[in-house]
Amino acid sequence: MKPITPQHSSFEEQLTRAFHEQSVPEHKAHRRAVFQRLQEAVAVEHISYSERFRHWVRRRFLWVSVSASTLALAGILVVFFGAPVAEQYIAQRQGNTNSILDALAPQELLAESIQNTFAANDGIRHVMFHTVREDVNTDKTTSEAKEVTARTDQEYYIAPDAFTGFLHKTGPSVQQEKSYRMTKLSADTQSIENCVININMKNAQSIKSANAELSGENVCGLMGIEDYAGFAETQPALDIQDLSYNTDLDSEQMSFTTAEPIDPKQLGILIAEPSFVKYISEFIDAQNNIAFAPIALSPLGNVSGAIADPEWNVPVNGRYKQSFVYMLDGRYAHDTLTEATQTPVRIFSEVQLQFVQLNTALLEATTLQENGYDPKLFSAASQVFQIKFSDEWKLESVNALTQTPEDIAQFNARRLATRKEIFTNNSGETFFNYIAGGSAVFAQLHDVKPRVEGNEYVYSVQQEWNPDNPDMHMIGTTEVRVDSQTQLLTAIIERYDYPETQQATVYTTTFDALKTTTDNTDTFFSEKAWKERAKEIINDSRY
Amino acid sequence: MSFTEYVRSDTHTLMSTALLLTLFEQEYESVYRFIYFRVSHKETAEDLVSVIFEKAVKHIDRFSKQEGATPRSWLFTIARNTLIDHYRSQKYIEPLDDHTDLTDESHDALLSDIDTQIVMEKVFEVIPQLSPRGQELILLRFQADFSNKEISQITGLHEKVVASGISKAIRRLQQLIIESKQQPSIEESLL
Repeated sequence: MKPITPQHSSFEEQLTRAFHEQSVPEHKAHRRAVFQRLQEAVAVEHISYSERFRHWVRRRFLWVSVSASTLALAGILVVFFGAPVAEQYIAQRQGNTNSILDALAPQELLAESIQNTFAANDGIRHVMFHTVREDVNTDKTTSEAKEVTARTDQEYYIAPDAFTGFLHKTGPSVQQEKSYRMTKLSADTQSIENCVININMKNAQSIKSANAELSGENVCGLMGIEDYAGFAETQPALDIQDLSYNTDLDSEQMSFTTAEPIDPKQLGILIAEPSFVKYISEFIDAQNNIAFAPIALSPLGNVSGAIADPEWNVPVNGRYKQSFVYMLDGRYAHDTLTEATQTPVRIFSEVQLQFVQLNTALLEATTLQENGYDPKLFSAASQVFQIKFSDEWKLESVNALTQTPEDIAQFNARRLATRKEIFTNNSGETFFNYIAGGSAVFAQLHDVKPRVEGNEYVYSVQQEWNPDNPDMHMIGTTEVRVDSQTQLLTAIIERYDYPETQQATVYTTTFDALKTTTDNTDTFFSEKAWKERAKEIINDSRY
Repeated sequence: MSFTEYVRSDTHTLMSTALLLTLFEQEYESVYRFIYFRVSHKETAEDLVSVIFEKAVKHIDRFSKQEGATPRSWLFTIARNTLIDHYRSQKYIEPLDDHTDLTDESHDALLSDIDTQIVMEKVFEVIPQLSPRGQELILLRFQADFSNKEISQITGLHEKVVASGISKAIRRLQQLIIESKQQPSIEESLL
């Protein structure tokens, strides 16, 4: 090939200039229109989410007192919901600096939410509570249940994960025949009554047999589905008729029978994973000809089921408001909803997802503790960032041990992309606030203090995971070195008047992000661009 | 789905929205210009740009599955495919490949005659005379500032094919500009 001559190079430069400087027709109006359409398109799948989230922010974020978290959330709000929402949030926040730690315990939040639901809907008397723990009689679960039961003055049922597991084809008990205990708490007596719910995967005969075996017990549930795993492949939306056919059961046998029947009309709040909610609601609906509308009333924000399947919000027989579903466990939200509705489900915002995780954490502190979390972390909203960050670190650590190099590379690329995208979002604050939120996290999680090596400050962050859990087994230390190049970061810290205890972590996370950002050769995310953006942030009069 | 898997998918999902907004913020102008320079018609360009971003919203989940693709190259892949669909719908007849009769020597000699001003003035007159592939490669390279590797990802062409295609298109463009310069303008003809 002929080598490139100076003339070639010159011509190419001219060509580039020509394309960049050539005027094109005015198209600002079009740009605005497309952007609006883009927002609408994004919002279509998330409208319920965003609306509820806005409401929730207005109501619930008054107490956030950690400035970094406030800024972080405000930044995210700007990106996802626009400046007015963020401004409103900040304005509200400035008027109230009480910490949730002092004001409300998580269970109180939950209880309050449920109470509000009861208050708004006369006649609802029961709460069915789903937890991932099979051992529903643990002290922890019991105390949680008692707490909520006492505060809501309602009956409260706890179903173990396996109970719902059969409804997930990936659930733990899909291929098994099991009986599971269900714990019922009485609001009046605070006593716990054990009853048995029989879940049988095989056929009518075995269900009948199991039922007979359990005849001496307080049977509060009976369900049978033949080979649900295979069935679900072809019938993602559970069909009662097909169920009856497959299980050779008549509708009465298939019904959700209880020794002390739960009137579906009174089964007001079902706290469960969305897929469970969907299936069980269809089941109950078909049996009782009532609508079971999964409307989330929680201030904690997980309403993904209602988004994914708008039909659920359609009144049936005019009894739309008689039942409500409160979906709490968000871990399965994405995949099960996608599977169940055959529609890609998107969760709207990072914050919301984190709150979904927080929801989970509130109820599953034990489980999460086993996975490396400190239960103490789950008592404040700022913890969403803790969860987020610890997840991120954990994921990285897990990958290092259990995943293929390709997996690790893929994750790291995603992680990089995440930061890049946050950084390059339109408002500018976002990137900084993301860092700020993270810095608060690190400050609380690790109490990072630097050591001095020459002209460098070295920050070490140690991660420890539970060795009993092979997926989480990891102990590692990450070091971040900061030198004179970080004057910019110093300015950021001074500008935002970080408490001394957090400054080190601001350095750490910001510099880490800077390094991550500048690792990429893509000029779009260049170090220069980053610095320019940071300067804009610093000079932003709003701060 | 394990907790770890959830977090992983979670990260991807939540960033999809951010990615879209970021892409729009950063790339709308570039995409618009890329399209406009191909279709040379304001309304058509606007329609196509709308379609491109609608496709981006619809297919954002596919982005992560494109190995090695950057958000930008992914978006321009959509832009390119949208253009192809547009031309197909218009029953556009593809011209012959970019052909140049110039030898290397005569080409280099003529190059010295091309000054910046001429390029600026003439390039938009003659670029429609390039083949669609030539136009596409020139725009991706010089208007959208993609590297050959990125253009290879966007177009599906081998990187070497991209390099030679750009080289050929440049030479053809230079030839066209020179020919254009040698032809008297209408005003000059009247004198």
